[in-house]
Amino acid sequence: MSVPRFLDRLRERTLPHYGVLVLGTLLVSAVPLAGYFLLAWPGARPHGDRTGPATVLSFLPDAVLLDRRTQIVCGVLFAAGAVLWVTHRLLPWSAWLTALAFTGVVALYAENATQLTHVAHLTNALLILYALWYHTCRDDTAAALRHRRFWRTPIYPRWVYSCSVFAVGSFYGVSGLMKWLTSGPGWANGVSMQLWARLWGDPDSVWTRLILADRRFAAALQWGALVGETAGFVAIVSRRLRPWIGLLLIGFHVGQIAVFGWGFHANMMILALVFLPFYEWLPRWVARRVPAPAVGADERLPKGPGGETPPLRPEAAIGAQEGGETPPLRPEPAINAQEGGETPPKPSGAVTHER
Amino acid sequence: MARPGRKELAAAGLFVLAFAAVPLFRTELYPFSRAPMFADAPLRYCEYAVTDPDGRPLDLLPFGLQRNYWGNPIGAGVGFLPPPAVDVFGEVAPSDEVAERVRERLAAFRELPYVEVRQTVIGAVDDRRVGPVAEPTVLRLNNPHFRGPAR
Repeated sequence: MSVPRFLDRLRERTLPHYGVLVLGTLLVSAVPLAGYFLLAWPGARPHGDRTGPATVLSFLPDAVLLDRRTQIVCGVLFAAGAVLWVTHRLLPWSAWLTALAFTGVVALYAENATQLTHVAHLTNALLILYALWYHTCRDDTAAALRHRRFWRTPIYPRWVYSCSVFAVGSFYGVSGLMKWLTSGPGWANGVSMQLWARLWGDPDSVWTRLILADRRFAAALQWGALVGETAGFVAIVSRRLRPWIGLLLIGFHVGQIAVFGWGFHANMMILALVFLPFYEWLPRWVARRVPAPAVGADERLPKGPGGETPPLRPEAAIGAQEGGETPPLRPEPAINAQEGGETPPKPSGAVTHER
Repeated sequence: MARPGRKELAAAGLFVLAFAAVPLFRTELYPFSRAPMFADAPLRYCEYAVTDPDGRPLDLLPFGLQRNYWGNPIGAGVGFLPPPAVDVFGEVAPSDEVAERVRERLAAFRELPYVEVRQTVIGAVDDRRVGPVAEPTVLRLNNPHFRGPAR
């Protein structure tokens, strides 16, 4: 695929259902995560020397970083921002408020802690990405909301999905790579897994008992984790292998939760939504269930400068980008293009099916 | 006039660049991360126990025998190092090092004439299981700072 074609493809837009599903999942996941990091404030625990920089907030003075009230303020702002974002108010600033306040809650925990957990990194990265979506598409979003056509306007850019795939794939890929670089293939020796299970495993879990009872089983699980994580890089570029890698990584987290109880539930949901083919399934599901606009619906469309109904962007068709069937629903074009905005690309006529 | 979506692609490029490049320079800079958790492959670790002359267990932290390991590189991505400890996960501290560290800390326990430190090494006991690999090493360490009544 040529670079211009690749860039055009990234600019393609679909109806917002998938994006809103992911965003809703992120916000639902972020609430308990923020609650955990607020309640687990480590300020009074014993610690050694100050170190850093540890977070993007490390440039702030310690008087701010080490004051719990700063984190509580971030928590309140996060909650307020999330409510405003969900209700589509004060966009795109409510989106940024949510993403940055969540970053603040977790970063301020880390600034005061001696131990870090990685349960919030992916959620945080995608919140920033989705704030970017609402920021860059703010005019289209505002117009769609103003005309009560948000759900019928192709407003979710493909680059948001592609960046999600990159964020998830690189997060796990780098984690796998670190294991190769730090310990080599000997990482999956089975002994280390047994030691971790002995230390932190739930003694009542059948999985813990199986790991402790048989090193070959422990080593097999480690190989699965090592291959699954490293394959995160492959998932960025291979659409065909992505669901299988997603399933492997979801299984990896199911095992983690069953044995150790670590809170990677949000990562599991992100993996499911980004690596399993929801991006392709959901538009088709919506197309089958949402009735096509009624006859005369075009009369409600805003008119172009000459009073003509604007042409449909070919890339707006649901599922057209993913090789789906010709969609029965014709989504309405982005509104700002007809309201003195930039001229949309001319339709080529027939909807093309790309793979 | 800018092409439609150019700003969007610039935003996408910035996002990808940030999450790809920052981990090249910093192991952790939240929310950026190399995700280095459990990248090590320990083959053994030590369990410590400290008791007073009556056999009562004492907190490990004041003696610097606590385990700071939590799967991540120590001090990466956090604002503070953990309290100093003789224990390094995956390694077995020599007895004289353990004794020296504990004796330093006994100044805070002037009422104790001595303490007993038990070091148990956990590792592979055969080709299937892990557990204590040998009898624990027990150190009876007299307290040079003892000021209480003789026992």
